[in-house]
Amino acid sequence: MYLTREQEKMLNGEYGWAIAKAIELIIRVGEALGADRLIQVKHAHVSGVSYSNIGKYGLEFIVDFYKRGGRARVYTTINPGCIDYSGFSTIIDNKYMSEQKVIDDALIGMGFKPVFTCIPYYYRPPVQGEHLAWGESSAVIYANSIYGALTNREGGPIALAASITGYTYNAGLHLLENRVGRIIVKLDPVVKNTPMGAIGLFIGDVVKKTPVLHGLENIDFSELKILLASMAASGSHALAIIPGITPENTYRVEVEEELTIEKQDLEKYMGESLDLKHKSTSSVLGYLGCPHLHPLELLQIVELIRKYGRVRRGSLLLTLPPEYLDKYSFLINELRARGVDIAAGTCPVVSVFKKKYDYVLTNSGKAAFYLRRIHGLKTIITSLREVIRYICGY
Amino acid sequence: MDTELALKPLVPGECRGRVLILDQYLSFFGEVDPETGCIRGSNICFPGRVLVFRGSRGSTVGPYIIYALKKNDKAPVCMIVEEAEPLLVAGCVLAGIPLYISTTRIIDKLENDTYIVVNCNGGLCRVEAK
Repeated sequence: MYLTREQEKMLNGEYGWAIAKAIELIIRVGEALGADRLIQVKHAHVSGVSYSNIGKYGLEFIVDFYKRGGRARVYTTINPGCIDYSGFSTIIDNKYMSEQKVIDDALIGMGFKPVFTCIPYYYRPPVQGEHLAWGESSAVIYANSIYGALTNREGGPIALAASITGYTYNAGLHLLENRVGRIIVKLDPVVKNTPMGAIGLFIGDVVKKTPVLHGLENIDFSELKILLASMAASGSHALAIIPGITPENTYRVEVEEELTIEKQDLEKYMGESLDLKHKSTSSVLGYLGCPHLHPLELLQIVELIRKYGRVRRGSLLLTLPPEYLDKYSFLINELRARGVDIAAGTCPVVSVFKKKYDYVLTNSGKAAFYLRRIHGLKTIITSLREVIRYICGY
Repeated sequence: MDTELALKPLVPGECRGRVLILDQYLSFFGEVDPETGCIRGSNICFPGRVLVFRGSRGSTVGPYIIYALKKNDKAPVCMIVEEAEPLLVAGCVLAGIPLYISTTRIIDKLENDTYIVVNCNGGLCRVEAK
């Protein structure tokens, strides 16, 4: 791999252990993936920061880099940890408070912006064609597919290494030749009546090449976020081409096959069907906010709940960036008064629940994918409206 | 069988042992327990085996789980995949677990529990059954 003189000095330790170790990791991964050189990144987003996911080894890794001199060289944001920073959630268990604080202090000490959210594009929307080093699979696929920015699924360690060196390897989705849609996926037969979370899980599971998604012309960005996040959870997708949305000149299309999704393909991904009477005695958790809610989604949820009045059955959990607690306190306070549980800077995928639920009801295929696997919870995927209707309706 | 099973090293290193075949994509975060080295909810376990699978999927927390497997002494000896993505390579580099990519569909051609050795000459490697 070609290295500039500056990069060689970094590798040789002239800028200290942390930079040498970080650039070595990037170079070795880059060489394995056929990169010819390193490229500068504009924004690193560091995932893999939740203690309940990465445990003591992840903690040691992050603290090592901080103590031994690693500092952000580019704008860097942080993914959610395992603590509800509002302090008021009765659903998320803050039992790893002290361990998470060690991680957070190291990340903030390195100069990373403590946004604790999986929607870094809310803080800094990427520019078309710019190079990023993002962890967090749902944000990666959103950056590539919606903004036309260029990032691989870097994962926590590489994103951290890219932040403190300013570089990542020039391979994968940084190159136009790899941003090629090869399979047309026709969503028309299902798109109106099926939750996007289930469609996303199916695509992630079954389609392995970069898909070109047809039939999404009338879908809003909130639904697209759910669809893309779910694909990136059950599959390894980092890019989906959506004609009319994905910026032109950031991809090519060379169609090799076509797939039409039928209703029956999706049933096993949705979970059990929702039968209100049958489950009236079970403990049910409604969950919205995976990925974290955008302010417009928060507003949409407030308006829907106002129609019903308040939470009537089970619990309703919303997860969002900590900044909203202050910025949208008028909405947050109203939701709490209506019986909604709000957790900030975390989510159920990266934290621990205080108790077990018989059923979780969510619009997110990503949340369902991990809640089923990590927490062993029965999870039903439905639309945002249905989640609220079930929890708040009469 | 040996000559047709060509591999390319992504993270070079010694790779020999009994094969464990998983004909699936694997999300290390969520689907693997880093404390036991087993697939959650199954008795399929990695320690001491040559893990052969299609490729990785899922969360970008994956590399830390691979790293934790190694630290906990529950990691596979090495991994052979049909598709590699950056997350898997980063995890293997961090953990120091050799990783090879198959140039053909290897899962159909190997049998579970066979003892294999990966021999490399220059940039190309091949699988030999013992």
